[in-house]
Amino acid sequence: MFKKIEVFGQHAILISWGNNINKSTSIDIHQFNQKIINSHNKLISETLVTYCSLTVYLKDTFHIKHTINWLKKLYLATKNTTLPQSKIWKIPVCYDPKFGIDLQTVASVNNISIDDVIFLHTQATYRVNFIGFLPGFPYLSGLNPRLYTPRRSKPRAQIARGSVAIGGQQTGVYPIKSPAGWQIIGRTPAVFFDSQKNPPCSMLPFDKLQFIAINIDQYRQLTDD
Amino acid sequence: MIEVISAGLHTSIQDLGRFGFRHIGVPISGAMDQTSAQLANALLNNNPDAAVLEMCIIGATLKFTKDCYIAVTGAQSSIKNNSVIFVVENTIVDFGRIKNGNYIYMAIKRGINSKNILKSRSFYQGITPQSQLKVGDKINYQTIENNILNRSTIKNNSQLFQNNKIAVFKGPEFDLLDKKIQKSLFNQQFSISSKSNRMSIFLDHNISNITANEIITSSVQPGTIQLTPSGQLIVLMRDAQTTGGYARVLQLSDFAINQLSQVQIHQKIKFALINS
Repeated sequence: MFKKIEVFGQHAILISWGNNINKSTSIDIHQFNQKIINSHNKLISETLVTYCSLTVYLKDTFHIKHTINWLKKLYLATKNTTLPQSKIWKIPVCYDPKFGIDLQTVASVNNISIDDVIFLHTQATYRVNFIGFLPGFPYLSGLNPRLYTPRRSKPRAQIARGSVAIGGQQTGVYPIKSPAGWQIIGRTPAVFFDSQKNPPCSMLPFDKLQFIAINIDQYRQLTDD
Repeated sequence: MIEVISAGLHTSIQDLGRFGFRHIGVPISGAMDQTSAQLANALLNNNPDAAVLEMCIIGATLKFTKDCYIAVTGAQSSIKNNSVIFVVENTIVDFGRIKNGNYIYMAIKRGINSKNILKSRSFYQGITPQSQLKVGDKINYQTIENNILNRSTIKNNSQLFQNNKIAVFKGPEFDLLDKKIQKSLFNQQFSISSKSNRMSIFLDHNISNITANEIITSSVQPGTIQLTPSGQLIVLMRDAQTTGGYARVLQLSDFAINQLSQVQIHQKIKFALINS
């Protein structure tokens, strides 16, 4: 059950589930999100899911209180919603130091070797929690605690598209070139976001993801295709 | 079409924004000062979501190859504001230095015909091929058939260019703040830092010991004011990211976002709390 439902500015309703990131909260949030999507309520522009919250964005400012009441009733409706089938994404990553410019930092902070970093990063199966921060940027959970590394104290002005990174307790992939404060450990030729495609990003919450190590020749082959 | 002779400081095509893709991390973008952008379209009887040119601080120089009607709104430039202007073919228009604000909007009858990407013409790096116009760019518009009879000048919202009462709501994390910090957000003046851009406006201040804990990443929107652990106040604007990990202490009203977009660097503002 959500903890709070409140107005967030003139256009949005914020529904919060407290401060604990866990699977049952995630399922509850996604069930509710799917019910809202399936209702095709024409007052709603879009919804956004994060770890512990669901934000409902409205098209106008007029119907905000009316929509809060509607949401409360919808939440209590008992029909079970089917969530979309989750996929497993296998993402090739080149961990060559040419791309993994902070590999040594991650290794040193954790007192392990670079080979250990690559092993631990590729061994895990990650869950996609939601997409945010940048177009197509997946928030992943499941990073091995032995790879936790604080963000850089000074972000870089720009890093390459496809950079694979670790920031604090999180790992992710930068789908477009961007300023970045995370530690860069490799690069993937996989395209996470393409504005020319419909949909531009196919990764969905609850999908799973694995990183597969490739060498620099394989990387070059994949990028020349 | 319009040919860009000089691109000004930052000229881009914007409409009211890109909706429907925030769940995959796509910011809304769109005109910074939507009050002025909408007025420019209204003067020409355009659709409210017709794309306009947004110019910042230094205006562009444009050549119009066919007759058309334009309207210019927002801050002051070399071109008369808030009325319909007939431009004859092959005229070169220099918008010059922009004063008494940051942004001007040039609407053209029937709107700009650039490519719609993800349901919007608004420029955004990583979504549209360009984030701003450059010399030599060509912009399409439709040629006009009817004469527009309206020649009157209309007034823009007089509150738009005043800085003393920027209306805000409490943000989701406002109640977690120390009471002294809560008070200081309303009895202090803040000035606009030169670091500011279409993504965020940084506010300079003299408040000591102002801080807030990071939050578990949650949603943010244009108008969300974040407070970082190191005491930095950041107002997220139209190109801001869709999620964030800093405390959301205040939320600007829709009109306040437009007002704030026009406050010049180093000028001071004050917030006024709306009790909802």
